[in-house]
Amino acid sequence: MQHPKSHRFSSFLLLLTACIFWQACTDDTADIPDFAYTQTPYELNLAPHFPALPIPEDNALTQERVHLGKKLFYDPILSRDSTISCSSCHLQNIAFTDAEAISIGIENRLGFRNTPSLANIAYHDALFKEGGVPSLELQVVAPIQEHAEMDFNFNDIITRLINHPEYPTDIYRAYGREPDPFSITRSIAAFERTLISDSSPYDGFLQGDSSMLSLQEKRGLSLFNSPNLACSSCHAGFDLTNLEFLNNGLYEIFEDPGRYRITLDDADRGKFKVPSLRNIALTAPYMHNGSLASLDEVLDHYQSGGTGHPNQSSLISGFDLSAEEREDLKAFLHALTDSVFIQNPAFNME
Amino acid sequence: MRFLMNSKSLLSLFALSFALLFFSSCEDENKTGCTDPLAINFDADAETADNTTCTYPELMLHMHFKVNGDDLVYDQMYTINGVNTKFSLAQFYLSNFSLLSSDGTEKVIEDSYLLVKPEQMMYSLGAVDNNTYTQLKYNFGIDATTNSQSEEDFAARPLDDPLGIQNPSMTWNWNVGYVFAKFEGFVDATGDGITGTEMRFHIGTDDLYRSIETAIDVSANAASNTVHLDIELSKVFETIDLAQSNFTMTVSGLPETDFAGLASTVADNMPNVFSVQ
Repeated sequence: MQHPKSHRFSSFLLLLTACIFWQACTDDTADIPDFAYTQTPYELNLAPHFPALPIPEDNALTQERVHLGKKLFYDPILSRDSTISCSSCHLQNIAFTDAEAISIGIENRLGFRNTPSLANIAYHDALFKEGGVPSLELQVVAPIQEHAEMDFNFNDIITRLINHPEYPTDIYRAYGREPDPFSITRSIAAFERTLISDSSPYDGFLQGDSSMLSLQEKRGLSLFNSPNLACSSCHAGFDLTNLEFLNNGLYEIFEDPGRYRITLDDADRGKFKVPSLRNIALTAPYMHNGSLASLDEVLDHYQSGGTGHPNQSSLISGFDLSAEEREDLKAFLHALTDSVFIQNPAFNME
Repeated sequence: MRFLMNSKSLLSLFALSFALLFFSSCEDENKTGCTDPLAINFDADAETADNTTCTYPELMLHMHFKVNGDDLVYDQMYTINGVNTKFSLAQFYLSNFSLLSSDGTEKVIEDSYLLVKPEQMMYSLGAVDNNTYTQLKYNFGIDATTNSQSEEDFAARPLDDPLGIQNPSMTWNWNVGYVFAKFEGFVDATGDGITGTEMRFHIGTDDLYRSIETAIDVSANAASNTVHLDIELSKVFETIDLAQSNFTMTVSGLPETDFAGLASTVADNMPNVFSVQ
């Protein structure tokens, strides 16, 4: 079989062309512009004893979204005078609370409630202590617009973001949109969903390693679970809250009506969402208004059986603890501190 | 057998052709046009419908904010029920409009939501029908379905959507749903001549939704048709003594024993606030 020179040459050209095409097609820096809308999945590594994270359809977790949300969370650009960010009241090293009784906004304005922790906030389907807001996305709007917190508005925030050197690119990359209320609320909510606290000594114990709790802490756990104290009836489950709205008899008359604000039902006066006890040793002061400064004061309150408010939970009826038993119980509560969570670099900007 | 063009068949052919020509030219004179009698360019002579060409009248509302019959000016002193009052904010939602025509039919204007404020005079209700209307029906506030924000939360809406995020905000911070009305300003609560007490009425929640009917007389036969409505703000506070009762956020406010009741009174007054000029 004869292969004429011309035939060989054209075969060579064909091969060369093929090689060039192949190279061009596999060159991964070739065509994608720097700010394309990309969705790199964000991998959550939840501890096995945690349920699946509830995630809304229009806000799947991606690395781009979480990064954007984190940036906004730590950015005072969201406040009128650019002094307050979400992180001003939600400080990672104390489980995303502040150390104040009542949170403080711009110009030292006083809010009216104690800042809640954001640990495992993704599992809440009713935000704020009276549970009026149904999603993390919608919650973002409130502190931004609130007179005593950031005292600002979305029109002006969007003007700032549009003129910012990085945010328009970050937002397009994360949501394929220009700066708007959707991208701001979704991204901050996406970041907040990643704030998982599942690595306390108690968590190790729950996963089957009984050496993770000391003997004293185990005694405290028994007291915590005992029918007499009934702590675990409300501070229940993997997150130490049943997320119900209950009245713990803190006052005879509640200035802050709690759940009543939503339902206008007298039976709901003084009812507030049961908070998680995770990291509780770090998150003083306690109660919806930060009126109890220490765990001892909290235990004093529950030990006393409350004020007897008509809506008080029947589970609060008082109990007796010896000095030693109280120390055991407090030791257990300290075992809920998650030192991985409060230092996790994924949750801060350093 | 082949067909032969003899004179007989030729004549028949001509006759046939002539007839065809006659009828086809009549076909060309037969009109195409809009055959919807509710359109302003309805063509009664059109035999072939091309209703993509139909145009409909637009209904505009021209809103006039007034206090005691005078045009509203923010920060101007007025007297309402004997109390000196200044306004710094007055805006509210009207929704779910429909029109009653003289023949008794109702034209519903789908998805009609207006955020009415003094800075904006003209509001479009969109396309209606070429008809004579005798009543405008609408509502104070937002219907319960939209108010639950179950389908699309306001953060997902564009900023120019009246149901989107507003500045000043028209949604509750601590609850789902819209603030139906905000009336803010200052009153002279002490009688010393100085309007030194802040007045704040934030009215909302589903049970304060109110239906309103206003008699009108408009023949919507032009491209744009306008109804002029007066909004008499003093009537918002009918039976309210602003020196005593000047603060309600619907579930909190002053007086403490009646904050929800104060909001209800305002909602009940809203239907009486509107009249045609």
